[in-house]
Amino acid sequence: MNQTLSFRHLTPEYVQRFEAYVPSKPDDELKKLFGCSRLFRLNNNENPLGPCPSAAKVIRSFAPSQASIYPNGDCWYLRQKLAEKHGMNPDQFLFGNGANEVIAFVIKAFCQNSDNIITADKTFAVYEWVAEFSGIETRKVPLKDYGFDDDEMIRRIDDHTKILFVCNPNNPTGTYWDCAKLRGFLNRINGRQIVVVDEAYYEFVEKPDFPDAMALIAEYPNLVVFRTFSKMHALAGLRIGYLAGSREAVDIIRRTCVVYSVNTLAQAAAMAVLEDNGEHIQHTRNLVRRQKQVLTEYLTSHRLPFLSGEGNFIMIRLPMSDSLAYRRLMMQGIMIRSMTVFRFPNWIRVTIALPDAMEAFMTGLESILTW
Amino acid sequence: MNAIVSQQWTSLRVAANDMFLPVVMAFVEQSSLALGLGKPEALKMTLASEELFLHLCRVIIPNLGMINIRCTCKGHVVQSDFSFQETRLNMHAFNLTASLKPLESADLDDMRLILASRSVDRLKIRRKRNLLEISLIKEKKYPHALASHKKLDSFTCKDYVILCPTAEELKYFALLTRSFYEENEIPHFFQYPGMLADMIQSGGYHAIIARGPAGEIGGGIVWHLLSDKTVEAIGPFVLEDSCSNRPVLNILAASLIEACISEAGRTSAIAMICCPPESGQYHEYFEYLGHMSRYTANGVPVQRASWFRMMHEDVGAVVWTTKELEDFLRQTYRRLFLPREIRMVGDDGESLHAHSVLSTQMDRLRYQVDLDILWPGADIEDNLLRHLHLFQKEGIRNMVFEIDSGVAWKSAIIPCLLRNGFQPVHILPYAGDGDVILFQLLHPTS
Repeated sequence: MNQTLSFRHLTPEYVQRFEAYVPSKPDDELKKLFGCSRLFRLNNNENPLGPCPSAAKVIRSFAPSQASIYPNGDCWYLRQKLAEKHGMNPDQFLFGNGANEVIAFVIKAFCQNSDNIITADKTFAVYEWVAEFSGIETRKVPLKDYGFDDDEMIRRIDDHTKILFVCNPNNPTGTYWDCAKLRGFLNRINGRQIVVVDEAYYEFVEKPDFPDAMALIAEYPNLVVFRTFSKMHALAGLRIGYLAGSREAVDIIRRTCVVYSVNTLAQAAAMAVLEDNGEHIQHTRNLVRRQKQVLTEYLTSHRLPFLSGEGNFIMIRLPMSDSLAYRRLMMQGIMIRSMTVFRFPNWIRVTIALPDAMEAFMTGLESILTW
Repeated sequence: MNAIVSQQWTSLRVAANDMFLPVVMAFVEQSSLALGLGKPEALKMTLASEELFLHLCRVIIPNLGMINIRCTCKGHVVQSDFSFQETRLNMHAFNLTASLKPLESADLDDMRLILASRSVDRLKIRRKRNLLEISLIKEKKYPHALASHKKLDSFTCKDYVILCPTAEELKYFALLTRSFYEENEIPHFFQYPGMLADMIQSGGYHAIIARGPAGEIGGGIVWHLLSDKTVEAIGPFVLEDSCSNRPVLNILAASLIEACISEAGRTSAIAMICCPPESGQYHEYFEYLGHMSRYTANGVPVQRASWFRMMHEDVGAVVWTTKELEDFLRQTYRRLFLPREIRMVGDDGESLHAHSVLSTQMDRLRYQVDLDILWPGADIEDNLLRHLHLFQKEGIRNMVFEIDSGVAWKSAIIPCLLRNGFQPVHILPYAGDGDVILFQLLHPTS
């Protein structure tokens, strides 16, 4: 067939103008492309220690016969476990195929055309993406001192605003709202809109004033909290995350939730994580703390501006294009995240990893800076 | 200033039969007037359409195919697109040099496409999937900005914000820029503030400025999508005396560039091309591509640097070339740290069509033509020479040939370009199916 088909007439305008995200190629393809024999993945904020031993054991013992059976459709055991852990009701939790999926649940549940959501201009991009390709306006509020600007977010609310997304701590800047600030924000919203607090990096934070948003749900029925098993718990490859909220809010969100999207292995491994004694979290925190210190000392000595907040990553401002830095580091087998797409030109984000990877990164950075 | 992207267009579907010429002329004239051209410009567009339609009826589509005509207002220009299916066409006649008479006896007056091009500012011949399209573009007439002999006050404020300008601020910015920069450093539309305002309002172009607390304007930058994958930044223009010839990039210029990159960072653009107004230290944001000479009306070459940056992480690409260009490409990609798989294309004796077709974008305002190959053919060398001869007669001084290295058969003509005086200047990463290699005809005779 010679003719090229066009489905433009069938495609909503907001889908036509949306630019699809192209993920990285598989590691082996990248190594071939950039001519490197190794690859340190410092781009996705993965936990280099892997899952906790009990989850690893569950993964190793997964029986192939289970693959032919549908998973539990709504993660029944996991919801029981979380309810027990947080003193809540199982119906206050909804699971998704990674936290990305639950973002879509919430937006679909509350927004329709002519509505808007509010978030920051330089934060995790998926809130904006889901809204835009669903025909919902995203109001992007500039960061203030690299953090979410609560006053300006509230000022931007109008009658069509349905959801405010706060990434706490913020990816990629690592800034966070403390408990008082989050409470103040929720009080000012006063239940008029849904407030989503994305706590993807919650388990990395050691600051005493960092809020546990889950504990605030009882007081604020319009609060929805996201958590993931992809970062600290190192189950990114299995894709599992969840949201929590009041029964009233979750009852509505459940209507747009595609059940059966979380596979059996992911559910089993996540259950092992929830039953773990917490030692693995402590090991990871220790690693992140130590390696952050090593890296920040290096950056300080080289007079490179950086942002080292909460989370297992650091942002670094380079005196060169971040996309050039990406290519030059890739040629040395080091994959970082270039930040132009986060609207931070010339910044890179580096995941804190094991000492050999951090050493390789610093050596690689040295070589491209002195070139 | 917010873009108003309204659907300002008209369309006509008509059989390729010259009995419909009055219909086509009336349609194009009335559309041009309704879309904002003045009477003289609309008349010229109509004359160009007359030549084009006759050529289509008598030479390109002599067998009564259908032609779609669409007239669109794109802010500062009106564009008339004539498009048709590429089947059943006399492809050879799609060249700008095509004539009603045999080539050996034809003169310029027989070349209706070139006649059409004389009445408009730009003429484009393109292939879009299975459609061929010839576009006539005419700029609206705008009053020239008042000459500013006196240099306006320079900007000294440090407490500025970067934002989208209002229409009045944008026009004042254009005026200020003219008083700070030489004419050859700024695009021609800065000479016409109303044109700049229309370009931004149409949504095709975007601008941001630096504004001080008292409303003073410190600089600005303009950008637009050059293709689906490439955004072109024009500027930054900084209105501070103190910044000139500094070894490091001025802070205000850096703020403008950062804001521009941030805005374009989540568009379809994979690469940003930047042609800054003066030599400076742009290494912090951009990678140096190379220099290109632009010949002015007087034949004086003016060197302009081109810079680029990737907007996304590079995913690699295949580059097709011939052995003559292999060293140039390997050196270029090594210098730019771009991972590319270079593959050779050669003549393996396969059959070719008799006639090739060249695509042209002729910009008479800048004495420039951009060439591309639409259709391979055994007569490519003769065809290229005919085009070069024609351009020289038409006073076109800047001839650039673009080869999309992602398409093997296009790269196969590289030896022909080199034999006829074209030299590789630099590449434009991801500007086509793959990287586009720019060749320039050096020292064209005037």
